[in-house]
Amino acid sequence: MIDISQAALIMGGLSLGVGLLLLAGFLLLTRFVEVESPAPAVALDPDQLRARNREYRRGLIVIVALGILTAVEYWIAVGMEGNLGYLALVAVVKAGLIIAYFMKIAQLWREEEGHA
Amino acid sequence: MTVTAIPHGHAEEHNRPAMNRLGLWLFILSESMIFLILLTARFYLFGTSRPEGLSQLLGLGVTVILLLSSLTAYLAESSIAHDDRESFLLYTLLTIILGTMFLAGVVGLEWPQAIHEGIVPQRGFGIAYFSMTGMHAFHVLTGVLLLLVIYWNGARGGFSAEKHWGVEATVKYWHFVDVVWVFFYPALYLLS
Repeated sequence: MIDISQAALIMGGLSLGVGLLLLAGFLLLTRFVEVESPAPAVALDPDQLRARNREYRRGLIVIVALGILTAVEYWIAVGMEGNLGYLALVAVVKAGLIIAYFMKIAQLWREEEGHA
Repeated sequence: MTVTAIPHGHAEEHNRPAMNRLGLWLFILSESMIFLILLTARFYLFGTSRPEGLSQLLGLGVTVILLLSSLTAYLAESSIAHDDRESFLLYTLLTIILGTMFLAGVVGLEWPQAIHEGIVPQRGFGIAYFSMTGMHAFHVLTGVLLLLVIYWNGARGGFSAEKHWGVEATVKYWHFVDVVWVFFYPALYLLS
């Protein structure tokens, strides 16, 4: 009969093993995949570069906001004994940021140029 | 008034991205029901109580890793949307590494620690803890596999600014997994 600490060790070892195998297999795989582009990558034109950088900046602003909210959340847990109302409020704001800016939910009702 | 007939095939092609997105969001909505049920069960069974055994600091660590992976996924999608394939591959690889780190953190570190502290899957809070983190970890694993597929296809030149629905869908799914954790993290680690 396996006791609970042995089960924990086995489970932990197995999980780490699978994770490492996955990573090793992937890194090995990338050695054999030659990066090829049917239409060779060309330098981005200035407009495209600006648009891309604008999106990058938006992503950075969102992650900073998420980081601050996560710190606030942790402070609520430690300093305010984990008040459910405040924690729920912070979680909803964080989820809203991800859904609005990272998942771009507005694309659903915005008429824009699509891609295949 | 003039009426212009749009050939059937052309109209279908024109609407495809919108239909794809709608389908994906419906899929995400249906998936979120599973997690909503788990979250409701956790509060129904245990109220706002939480055992002392779970490490808040470890929870914070894996949360930061997952949030960062959302940023790299977003950057990967933005890169390919502007035909920057090298950045796309780099950020996708970073997302895969961060996702794997999250998995190793939850399943490899937190689970054994929780069991060591007496939080076991068979009884008490452990039932909620392991079912919630287990279901979430399974979704992270499938997300990592999908990211591997888009990396593989991207490395072989399969995506461009005009054609990257696979990337968009995978990245949206990855963000969804992040949103789920945004609610699970306080429910499991932060409530008093």
